[in-house]
Amino acid sequence: MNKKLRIAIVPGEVCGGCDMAFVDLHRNLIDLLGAVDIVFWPIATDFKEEDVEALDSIDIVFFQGSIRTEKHREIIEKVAEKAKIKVAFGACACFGGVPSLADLYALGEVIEEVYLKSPSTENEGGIIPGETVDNPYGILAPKLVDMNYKVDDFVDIDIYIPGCPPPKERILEAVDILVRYFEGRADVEKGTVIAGSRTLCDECPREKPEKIVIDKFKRIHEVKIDPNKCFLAQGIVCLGIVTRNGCGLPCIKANMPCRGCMGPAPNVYDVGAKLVSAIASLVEIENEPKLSDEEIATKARTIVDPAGLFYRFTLGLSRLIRVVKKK
Amino acid sequence: MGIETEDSWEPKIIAFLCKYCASAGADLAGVSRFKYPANILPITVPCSGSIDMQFVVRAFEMGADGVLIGGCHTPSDCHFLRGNFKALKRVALMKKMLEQIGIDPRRLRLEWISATEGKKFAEVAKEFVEEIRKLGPLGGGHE
Amino acid sequence: MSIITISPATRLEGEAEIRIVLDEGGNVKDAFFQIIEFRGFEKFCVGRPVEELPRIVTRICGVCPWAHHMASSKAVDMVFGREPTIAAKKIRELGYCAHILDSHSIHFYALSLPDFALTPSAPRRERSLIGLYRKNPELVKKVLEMRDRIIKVEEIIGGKAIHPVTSIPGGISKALSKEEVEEIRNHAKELLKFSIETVELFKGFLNKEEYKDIIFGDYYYLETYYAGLVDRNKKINFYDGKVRVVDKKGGEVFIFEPKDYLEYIGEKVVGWSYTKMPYLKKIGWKGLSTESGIYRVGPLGRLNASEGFATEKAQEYYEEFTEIFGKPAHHTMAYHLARVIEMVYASERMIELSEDKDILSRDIVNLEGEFSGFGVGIVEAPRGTLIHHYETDRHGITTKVNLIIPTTMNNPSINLDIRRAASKLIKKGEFDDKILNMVEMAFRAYDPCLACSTHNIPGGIKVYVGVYDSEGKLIRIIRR
Ligand code: SF4
Ligand code: SF4
Ligand code: SF4
Ligand code: FES
Repeated sequence: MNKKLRIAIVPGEVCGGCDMAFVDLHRNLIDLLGAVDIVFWPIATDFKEEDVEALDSIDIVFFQGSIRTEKHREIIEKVAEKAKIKVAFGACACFGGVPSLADLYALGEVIEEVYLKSPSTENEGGIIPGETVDNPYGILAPKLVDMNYKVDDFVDIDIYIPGCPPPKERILEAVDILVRYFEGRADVEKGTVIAGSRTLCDECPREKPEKIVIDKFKRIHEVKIDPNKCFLAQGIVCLGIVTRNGCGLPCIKANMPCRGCMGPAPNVYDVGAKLVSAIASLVEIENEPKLSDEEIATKARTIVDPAGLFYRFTLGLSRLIRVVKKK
Repeated sequence: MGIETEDSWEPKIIAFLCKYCASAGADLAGVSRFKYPANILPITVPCSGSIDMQFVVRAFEMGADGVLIGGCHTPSDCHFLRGNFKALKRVALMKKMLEQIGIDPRRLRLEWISATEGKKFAEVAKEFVEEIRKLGPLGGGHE
Repeated sequence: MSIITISPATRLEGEAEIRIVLDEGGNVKDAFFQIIEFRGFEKFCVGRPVEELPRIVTRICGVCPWAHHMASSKAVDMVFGREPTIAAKKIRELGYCAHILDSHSIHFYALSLPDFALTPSAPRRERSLIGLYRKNPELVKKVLEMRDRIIKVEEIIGGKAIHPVTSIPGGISKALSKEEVEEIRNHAKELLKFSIETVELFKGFLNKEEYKDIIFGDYYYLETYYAGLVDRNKKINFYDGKVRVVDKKGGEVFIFEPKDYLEYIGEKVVGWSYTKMPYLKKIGWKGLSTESGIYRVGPLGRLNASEGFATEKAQEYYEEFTEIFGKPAHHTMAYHLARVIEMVYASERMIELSEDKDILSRDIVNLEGEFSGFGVGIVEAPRGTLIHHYETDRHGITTKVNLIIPTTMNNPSINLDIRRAASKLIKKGEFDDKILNMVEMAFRAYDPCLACSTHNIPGGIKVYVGVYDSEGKLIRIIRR
């Protein structure tokens, strides 16, 4: 390569974990820094927005986080125009991530909870940041947008790197593909997802019985979890059945069920609805034919929080949320 | 599905009906002149257990205000043995999830209707259309 | 530096903004440090089964996810009335000590050291870990090698280093094997050496002429109350204990159990920031000034609010610290030294715990307990005291979540420190890049995690400085 690749890392609404995942590449990061020019990366550098504005082109941009304010949108759109390859990095950028759970509520309710109802808050004046002016200079916090968006709601994405944060091996894989692409040695198909193409279950080492029969669904605090047996077979919901493989199963190995941060496996149309269907067909309730319809329904409903559980990281993808929010 | 004003709005309902029972029941309703509202668009499926809840999502997305699922009576009428149990568990859980997302769970309805119950089909259909009419069009905020 | 003049109508918007208001003579009349991000975890955790929260709230902050995982797990233990087993507590604390090292080392080397090692007036492109690497690659390599060890320990105990998953009501999901403990012990020993080197490195700046003003001068100096979690002997503990509060003279004013925090801490809402203003209720709120019960937390808060550390080398450094800065230490830059001393404690404690035989026990979860539906978990996050308070219905479904985050606790002090630094540095409307960076240094000392307090880009906050005339008319925006 005669010219160093110019890379920008641009955050929206982030927790910082995606940044840390980059920093944690460590030795590989140092190698990477030898091969690329980082032109924008707020956590580790003192570059400011005007530096990006001054650039004529960027080879690769990594978008991290979701979009919560007009400002986030402005910046990603501006950078996207200059970038040759656009990457959505992390569950928030790819699917909305955990912060999308806020969309289970109307925005007004969320604000009210935080600034008026929290038990340690004293707010006699009913002050709402962004709305109430309480100083002589008219200084106000800016307003928020209506929903927590994923990045491809606003810009076209070439490559998705899922995970919360993405696993090290997948980041390195992506970097490798990108370097080869710019050397003219590889193609990048629009919409490539840097992860496996199967489900977590396909590579999970836990013992799975031929047929799963349970009495009712259980919550993680209700049982002593068997470290060798499939979670579903223990009645505990595990998102491995619809989640894309490629994370290396760190949670499963630590004896915790998957919560789906790698996002939906290929061919899933709606994660939540797919899970509802998949779980009901995989898991049979004990003595099903002998129970009344209501008893069966009650046992199915022992999954206490289907929306918060099934869409833990992917509510931003949910088509139903968009139906609700449409004007 | 056209632009509509508040007055001209009519509930739109998609019905996924099992070919062996509910769908036959709907046909029977037709030939026996038990009138059921034209708001219902019936789709015949092989078994209620073959209805993936993703179809329901798609229906809502395409503009349905309500979704009806019709299957064979529990415990033993289903031709695929346990298809109706699958549907029962799915719908129970799906309703719970719809409610959390901000969609009134009454917009999804499950009924067991045999091939001979043409009258029941017509009644269910009428009742459901009226229920959805009361709920109003889907979308425009958390319900 | 670029100075951009924008018409007053233009909206000013960033992740954090410093707004400086000048009087007619161009001197500082007022200054605001504004955090404008907002995510609302308090609301969307409602409706979730409470035992799932330890895996949700980690996403408040990817720089200190362990702090949230721990505070949350402790609150959840209490909701279910379950005392974690001895092994579980020790395993949690062991993982948590690794995390203190993780967070402190990244803050010190990537965010603070560049200001010192490269001087505040270094060109801003150089003022970073990358710039540091160019200047001293061996040092940066060493730091990254140590961080590899830290991450390994975090992965063994938490499943994932960023966003750990293993704490569950009454314990932990996975026991440690002998080999794993062995490995952790080896890492801990190396980390202790590294931590000591880090303290010595920072101490080197204390005697340098060019830093005297910054560290000991009166740009960054604030007399406040201090708070931190202490054990039975009033020694600092990150994982467990009671909250001790001392006054401006260092005397204990109160010491309370986590569950009683509402009696002691209140929060005021202001219209110009999404971050609230916490204060000590018993002292009172008299507006944004040190007259109010404003208290500081974090490394400085802990060293001031405790009697030091329960381990040997850290205690030695603690004594040296009090000699240098006095007790309580009111110099904001003392945060940096306090922070690196804590790295020494965390390493020593890791060695201790990895040598403890309980750590290998298979008895890692307690399923018994009386459900109460109420829980408060307090830990010392790297940046200070962190409170998670949950309430649930009788099925354990969350109905109320209250979070008080260290950066929020420090928010009033950060505002005051910035106002002070700005007034001392900006005279007659004159300022340059160096001066503005020095204003920023005031808040960098706190290691403010805006990611946490609302939440956004940790450390690498984009700061906009807006300068206003006495009428509140925006006269200049400086993007920094
Ligand atoms: S994807 Fe996960 S790690 Fe990345 S910003 Fe979102 S919450 Fe943080
Ligand atoms: S459901 Fe979970 S535990 Fe069971 S096989 Fe799939 S990934 Fe493994
Ligand atoms: S096991 Fe599931 S939740 Fe854990 S990292 Fe993999 S995809 Fe994410
Ligand atoms: S065949 Fe009718 S429900 Fe299965």
